[in-house]
Amino acid sequence: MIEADDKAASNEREFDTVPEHPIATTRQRTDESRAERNRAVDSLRASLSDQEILTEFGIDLSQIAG
Amino acid sequence: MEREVAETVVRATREEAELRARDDLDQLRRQAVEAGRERSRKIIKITNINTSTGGISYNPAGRLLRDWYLHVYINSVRANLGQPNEAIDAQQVQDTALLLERVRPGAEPLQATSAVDATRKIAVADAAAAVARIIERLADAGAVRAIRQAPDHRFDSDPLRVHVTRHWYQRSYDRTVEEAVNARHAPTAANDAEMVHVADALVTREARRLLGHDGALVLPAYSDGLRIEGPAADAAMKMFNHTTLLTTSQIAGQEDDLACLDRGGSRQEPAAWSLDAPAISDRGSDTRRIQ
Repeated sequence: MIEADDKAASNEREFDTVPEHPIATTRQRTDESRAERNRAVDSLRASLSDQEILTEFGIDLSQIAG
Repeated sequence: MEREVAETVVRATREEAELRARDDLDQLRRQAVEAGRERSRKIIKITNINTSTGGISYNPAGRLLRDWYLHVYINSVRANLGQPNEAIDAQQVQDTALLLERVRPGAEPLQATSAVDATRKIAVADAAAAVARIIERLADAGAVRAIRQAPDHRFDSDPLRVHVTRHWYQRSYDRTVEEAVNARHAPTAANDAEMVHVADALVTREARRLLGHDGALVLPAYSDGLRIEGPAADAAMKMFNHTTLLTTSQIAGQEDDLACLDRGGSRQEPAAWSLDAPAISDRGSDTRRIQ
């Protein structure tokens, strides 16, 4: 019985890493892709104003969150 | 409960949960696509209206980039959900940039490429946000469906069997969702040993730890030492390493939301799919209003 308890305790310790939940995974993906999006928008803004971007390409950057 | 009956209950519960999870994923994906269409109209305008003169002009670049946005968005949503999709590659970016140069000959090639790239990344970010919303909603849906699957009166109101069945349903439902999003550390597919373990609990009316804290199966040789005492709802929760009790009172108020999935309707307002957060500072100002 003691041996079983030891095994059980050992087994518990073996699994002390909490897994990443899918919600955390997808939120992390969202954060990463938003950061990449912001860099791409900054790159576009390097040569055109927001108004020019809107007029030329139709992209309304005021609707894009940072 | 006879072992044969228990094994049938375990198998049927798993199959029902997996089927429901796939249906729910598909239903929410369709809603997310509609939210993407709405979003494309909001962020990419195809008509310029000069408020000074009242003149209206068509912007073919906006039409092209709106189509491009939707193409990237829809395929990114599907990719993030493990569904068949068309990969967006560098050639497509280049081809779209060339088309944009034709409809906007005044724009420099680098600007056209940059606009296509930015639109692509806006779509990818929106798709990621949509999938995150889907997964959040399914986390609630799985719990509600689990309780529906095993109401309090099932199994002659035996609380342990009821709660073990609920958590087994939730585990099977969640696993299907996790596999769809390719979540890291996703549990392995249900195997025979796992189903035998759950069937054991239904037969003996004893909960023993099935999963470790990392979601991995506890080896059968160790599980004998991991018998869980206490109230049935709590013991079943610990058996599956879940963190939330599955009690009937928990689903109060969530039935309407679930009914939306069941009917295949779209109770969720577009705002509920808000794919973005507060707007960044508007650096430009002009008298023009653009739609």
